[in-house]
Amino acid sequence: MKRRALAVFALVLGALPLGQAACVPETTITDAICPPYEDFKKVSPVLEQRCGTLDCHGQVSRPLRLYSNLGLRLPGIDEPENGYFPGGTVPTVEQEIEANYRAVCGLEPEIITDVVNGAAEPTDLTLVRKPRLTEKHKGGRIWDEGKAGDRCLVAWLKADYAPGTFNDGDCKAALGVDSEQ
Amino acid sequence: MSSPLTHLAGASASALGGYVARLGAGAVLALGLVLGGCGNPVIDAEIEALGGEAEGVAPGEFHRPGQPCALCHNDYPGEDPLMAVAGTVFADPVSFHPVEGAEVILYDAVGQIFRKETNCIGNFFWTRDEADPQFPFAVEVRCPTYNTDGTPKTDPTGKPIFKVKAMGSWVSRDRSCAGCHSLTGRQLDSTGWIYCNTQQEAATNPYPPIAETCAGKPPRQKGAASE
Repeated sequence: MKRRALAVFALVLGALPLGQAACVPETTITDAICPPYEDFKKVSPVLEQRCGTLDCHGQVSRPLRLYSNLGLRLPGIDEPENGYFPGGTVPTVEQEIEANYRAVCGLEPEIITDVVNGAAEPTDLTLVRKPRLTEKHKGGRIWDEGKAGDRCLVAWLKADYAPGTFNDGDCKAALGVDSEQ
Repeated sequence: MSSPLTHLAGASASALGGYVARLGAGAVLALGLVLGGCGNPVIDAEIEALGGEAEGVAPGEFHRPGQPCALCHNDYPGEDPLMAVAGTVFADPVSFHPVEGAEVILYDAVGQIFRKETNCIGNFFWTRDEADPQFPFAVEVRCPTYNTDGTPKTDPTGKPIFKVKAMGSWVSRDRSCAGCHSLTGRQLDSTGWIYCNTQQEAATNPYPPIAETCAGKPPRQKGAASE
């Protein structure tokens, strides 16, 4: 008898959170707005080089998971035998850049939407703070504020340009294509 | 239902002693669990997966070639000596034949340059006492070269000729080369083990057999990566 009473009590206790959850109003699902994808293609190589090595964000366990020729390869594209492996002959493919875009935009979708809309600052994003090491980052400081890599990322995030017209000078500089490193 | 406290209120002196003893044992057990909880189960599992030592090879500079050295020789679990960077150089992408005398050069983020030579089983390492390279760093391996008769290749002045293999990306934070250059060979998440020769070069640049006096053994063959 006592056991049955306990079992009923446990059932009631277990059902309580379910009942409460049902009372939570439905959230309104809105689309996240991310800076233009066509311009991300100029930013992705910087993230691939500076963040996407196999021992950092080139790992499937990372929320910011980056694919590239320099690190992790996206499954289902090709085989290692054909040069599709980290450091292999197959360069970063379009699907990998798309996956990187989803990773970047999906980190903090509400905040990145606000940044694009001008309702938040790029520094509200952990994506900007971590490489500057103004937020704890196991990979340490990747760049200081105002350096080429930082300018490349922040300018893309602000999205105050017509899609497809993003000036990639800073991104190239960050990659060492131009003089400034 | 009665709580342990109500039991305690009505207990005799002897029963109370038993309670205290049981509570003490419980506290010791709880303390053990808490202390045991300070470990890192992920790293523990990775170390466990490496298996035991090769037969006849004692722990030391010749043991476990190709394995991620800093998995053990790191702050956790703290195996002595702590490594700054460590790895193994093999002859080609299809065998675990080690290369002795390869020079590994590390260029770190603050301009320091470190050099180390591989031993008879291909291992190289910097302990934390001898080097403190700052991440990220670039690495190149200068592989010794040989004539087909097995004699070292030299230039007209008699200096040995090295073949340079440089990493395409840099090392961001892993102290174990094998963390990325794994013995599983080339995969979507591994660039394969470090090697000097392509398959095509193996015939023209043959590396000598492992010295009989070498205290290490190469890894067991687990499959071959393609060139």
